Amino acid sequence: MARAKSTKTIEAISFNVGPHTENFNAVQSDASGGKRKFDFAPTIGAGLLIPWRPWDLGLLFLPELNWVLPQFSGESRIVKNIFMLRSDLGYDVLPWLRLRAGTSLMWLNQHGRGGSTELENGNTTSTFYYPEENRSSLNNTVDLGAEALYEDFSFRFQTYT
Amino acid sequence: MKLLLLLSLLTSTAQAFTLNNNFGASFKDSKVNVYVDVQTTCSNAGVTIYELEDLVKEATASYWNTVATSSLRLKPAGFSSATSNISTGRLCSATDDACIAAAQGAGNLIPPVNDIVIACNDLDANFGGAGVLAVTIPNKFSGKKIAGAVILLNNDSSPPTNFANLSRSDKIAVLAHELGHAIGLGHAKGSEALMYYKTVKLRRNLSQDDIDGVSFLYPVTLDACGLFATVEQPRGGGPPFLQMALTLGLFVLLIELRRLLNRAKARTPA
Repeated sequence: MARAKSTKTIEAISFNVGPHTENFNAVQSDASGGKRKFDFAPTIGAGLLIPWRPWDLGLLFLPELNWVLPQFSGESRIVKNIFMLRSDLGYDVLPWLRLRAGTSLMWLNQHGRGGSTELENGNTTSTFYYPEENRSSLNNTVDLGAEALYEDFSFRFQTYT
Repeated sequence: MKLLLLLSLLTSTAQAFTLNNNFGASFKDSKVNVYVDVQTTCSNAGVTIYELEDLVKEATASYWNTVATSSLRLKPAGFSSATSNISTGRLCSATDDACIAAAQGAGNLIPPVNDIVIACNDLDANFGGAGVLAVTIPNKFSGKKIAGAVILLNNDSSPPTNFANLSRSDKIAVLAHELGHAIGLGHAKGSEALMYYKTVKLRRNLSQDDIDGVSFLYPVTLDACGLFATVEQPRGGGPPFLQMALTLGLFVLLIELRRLLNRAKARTPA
């Protein structure tokens, strides 16, 4: 859902909240070979709606910054954040339907707080370690999305590849 | 802020990846060759070295090379020259002085290797039982970087190894699990993870913990020019040009459609 407010030079500012799923249908989720379809990873963001004036094609430039809220694992020893700097072009096919396509810079950051744990290893147990530093991955993605518009709100479905 | 913290708590997961060392060691070059030792014999493990080579290719392609947020690319490189003692000798961690001394005394220490070398081995002391299908130790370091790792498949005949009784997909999963150790990962708590300590009912993909682990050890970084780095997608065979072309084509089609509709409206008498 997004709520838009008008300004003079920028047609609208939007705020969004929703779930994010990494690696849709490609991640094993149980010991029987089941794959994870959807994940609940809360994401918040803010964006702008800027009419794309060149060529008068009715396109919209939709820059956006999203943050997948911190995910904790390993007794909170590892914290994962994902940030996305997105730049979509949008087109209102119908007054209530907007199609979006664009690219994002996705920044995956993982911070380890160190420590160790005893886990089974063969017929005995061994000590394994949590990371003790901060590392990041940067990726470009190609994005496609569709947005249903209603007054100042919208519902969006978006893919990242 | 309180709402954000509350939302964060909803995403907490109990599982996590671990590392097999306490300094985050990984291979210096994210493109790592994986060899099968040319002189290894795997008669009790139920595979020939050519079958083993095929299994390695599938293990790398189906698991570790599929992660978009990781720069790691394991490259099946065929057969390596023979490593002394690798089929019958003792595999020791670089920091296990007692193991090294004993193995040197017995004259059967497996020496450090470069890249990743896989072999079958029948020394019970490496495995401790038929239920242990394989062991892996990064046994060569360069500073804080892994320079080489050895993967040994259990080829023991007394007691007979269980490796021979596994299905093909399970053998591939075992190899992929050991490759995870070779690149620096430890075990994971959850049974959905490839890095879980034992085989499970059906293993098909990496879990999120596995993906997070390899992404941590081998992140995708900016290149020297400061431009964005896009990792090739092995499954898709490269950048998604087709998808980009289709997207552009869709936009052009929609724009033309709108022009036609506007033109039609303009011609229609009021």
